[in-house]
Amino acid sequence: MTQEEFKGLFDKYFDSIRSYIYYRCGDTELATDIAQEVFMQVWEKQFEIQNGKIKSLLYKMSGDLFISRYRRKELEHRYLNSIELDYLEESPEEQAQLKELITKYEKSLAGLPENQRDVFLMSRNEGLKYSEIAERLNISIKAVEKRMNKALSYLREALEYKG
Amino acid sequence: MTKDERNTGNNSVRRPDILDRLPQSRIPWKRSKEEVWNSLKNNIDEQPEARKISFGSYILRLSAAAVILLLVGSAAFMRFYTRTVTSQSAEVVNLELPRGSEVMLNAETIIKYNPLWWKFNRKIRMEGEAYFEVSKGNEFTVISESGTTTVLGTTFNIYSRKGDYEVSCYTGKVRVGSVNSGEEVILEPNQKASIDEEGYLAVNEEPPRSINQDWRSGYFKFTSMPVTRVFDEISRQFGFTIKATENLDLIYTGNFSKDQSIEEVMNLVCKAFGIDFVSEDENTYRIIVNAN
Repeated sequence: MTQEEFKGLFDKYFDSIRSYIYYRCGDTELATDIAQEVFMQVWEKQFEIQNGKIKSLLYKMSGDLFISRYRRKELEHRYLNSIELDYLEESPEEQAQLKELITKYEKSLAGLPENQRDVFLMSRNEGLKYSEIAERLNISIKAVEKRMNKALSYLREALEYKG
Repeated sequence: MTKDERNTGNNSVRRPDILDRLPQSRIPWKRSKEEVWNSLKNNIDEQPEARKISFGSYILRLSAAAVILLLVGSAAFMRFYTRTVTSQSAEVVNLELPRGSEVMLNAETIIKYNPLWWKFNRKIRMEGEAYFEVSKGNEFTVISESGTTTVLGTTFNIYSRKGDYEVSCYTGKVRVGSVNSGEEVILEPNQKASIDEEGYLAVNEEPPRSINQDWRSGYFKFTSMPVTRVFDEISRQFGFTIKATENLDLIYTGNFSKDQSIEEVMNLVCKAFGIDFVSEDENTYRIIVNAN
């Protein structure tokens, strides 16, 4: 792999890889570190780039690395309180109401099981189709649908409750 | 928890729901993609491109290690492999040095050098007495306890025993250095350098000598020599022990040949000083000094 090829790979996948880790852990720094390390490993091991295969491999590597890292981090702050996000300003809601909704949303996201949260946010935040998610995570489309539905019903319930 | 009746199956299609009230969101990264790339780039610049080929396989690595080990091992062997040659009493040993030079060791002499490292370290350690005949262009240094002699293509003799150090140059040139004082002198043919107990060098002219006037042909000549050194030479040449009970402060000038018997030689030397010797056993003589 030349440097140019590596750079191409980085440009194409870095963002979605570190987002994926962020969806799982809610820690921007940890996600960035893991994504960086994954790409470092890709360079050091000089993987052959066969498009399609490399994509799911990157997700697999970052997921594995996340699990080994997270076990350590988990001891430091046991509970994930919320998944923080930045929001674009156009919204029909009134500020106070919106703020409350967002707080609830972020807390609810944290309450989702990891494998539902990543699928849900990959779909919602990055606009990926179910088939794309399935390909990246190397799971079936059916599994993606199932997790999506569970996540959606959980979130709706949590947000509408008292809201 | 009253709204349990939602049907999860339909929701993904319609989404007429509360989630739509949320604005679009982004992850609040602390480091930009560019920052991450830059720190990655620093690391990959150090990475050699050929990595994949060079040390990829275990076997290759193993054999590289083996080769290195072998090289280091054989270099160490070559460096430290020492050839040691000794001559016993009453014995003269001829020996060929690397590159065609020759050495003749007088009785009770030891010589050491590293034949396999000769290219890098042309040093010979020698104690005793030896005559060197050096082939042209072959340069080396003979190191003894109190002096070092560097050959500049030549024939010469070194005597190094009991702190006495003498070098006689026959042909060509040699450089003689004193270990203790650091003094150096270059000897021309028919010159002799000696180093005294304090390490000082002295050079004397010597009459030209042919081989049949020197130890190499069994001929021993002494000029103003402490008699103890003469007795030492006799005991070496005949393989006897000569015991002198007192410090003999006598100076001897004369010569002997190995063709003579030891008794003849002893008689010759002792007569000159009016001293006596008795045979203590088969191989030992004792010197007796009369009180008057």
